[in-house]
Amino acid sequence: MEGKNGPIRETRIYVYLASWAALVGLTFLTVWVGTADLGGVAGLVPFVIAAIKALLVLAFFMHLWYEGWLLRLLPALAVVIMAAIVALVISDVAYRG
Amino acid sequence: MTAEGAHRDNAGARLGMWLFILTEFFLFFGAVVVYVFLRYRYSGAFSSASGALDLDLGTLNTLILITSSLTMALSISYLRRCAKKAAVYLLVLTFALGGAFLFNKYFEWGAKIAAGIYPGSSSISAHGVGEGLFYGLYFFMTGLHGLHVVAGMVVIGVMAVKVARGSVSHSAPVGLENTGLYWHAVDVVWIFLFPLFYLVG
Repeated sequence: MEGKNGPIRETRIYVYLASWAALVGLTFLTVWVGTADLGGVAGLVPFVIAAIKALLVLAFFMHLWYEGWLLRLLPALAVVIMAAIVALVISDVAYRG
Repeated sequence: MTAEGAHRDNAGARLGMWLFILTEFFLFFGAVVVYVFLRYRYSGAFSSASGALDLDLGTLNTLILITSSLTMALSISYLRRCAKKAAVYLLVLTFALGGAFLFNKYFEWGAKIAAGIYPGSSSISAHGVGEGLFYGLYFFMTGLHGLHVVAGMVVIGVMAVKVARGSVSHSAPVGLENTGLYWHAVDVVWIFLFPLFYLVG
């Protein structure tokens, strides 16, 4: 029943609860940092926190922590492609001034 | 249709759902690229327009979706433990939280529209191009996300019925697991939309 054709390997409930608690805490942290007048690069901090929250959801709620290499590779590949697209757009806009 | 014991490819079903979810991420990513470009071109206007959004409602909605992801994950856990009633209750709770999210959105949008802020309004064009672009992106992206929430709620409703009837069960949970994957993906999108629109100032 387990293995490739089985259902997703069971996750302990406390993992879900701990992830939820971390996500709630990070949400309040995001708001606190986002509303403090920090300026400059600090404006990116809410997005760094958002990436951490997304990783928590992907890893534990969506089970990637427990999955094999293929299901972990695909979202990672998507992020690489997104980064490449952003880099190309930025370089294009910078070139046009 | 598929007889018990006939070919089931749970790993394939999960892979297929992940591939679909990645296309959804790219869909929203396209709009995000437009947003990033315009944000740096019209940073002042984006800043002031973002300040006019209701941060409390946005934060509440973020917490609602995060909690709905928890209830969704828990419903699958309980289904796997053969606790069918608990699984159904948690699915109903997930559905209700999704509804609460949409309810808040309805209030937010309603307040904006009543104040004359909606795509194509004269009030927006009076404030300049930058604010118009911000609100255009705001309505498009939160609207697209809201449609995804509605679709997710429909599927969750169908799954709740299937779990209650036993066609999705602890021995055949993949349908519910894939529903969970979709719902978490909708949560991930909102996790990024929230700082994009509410924390720009």
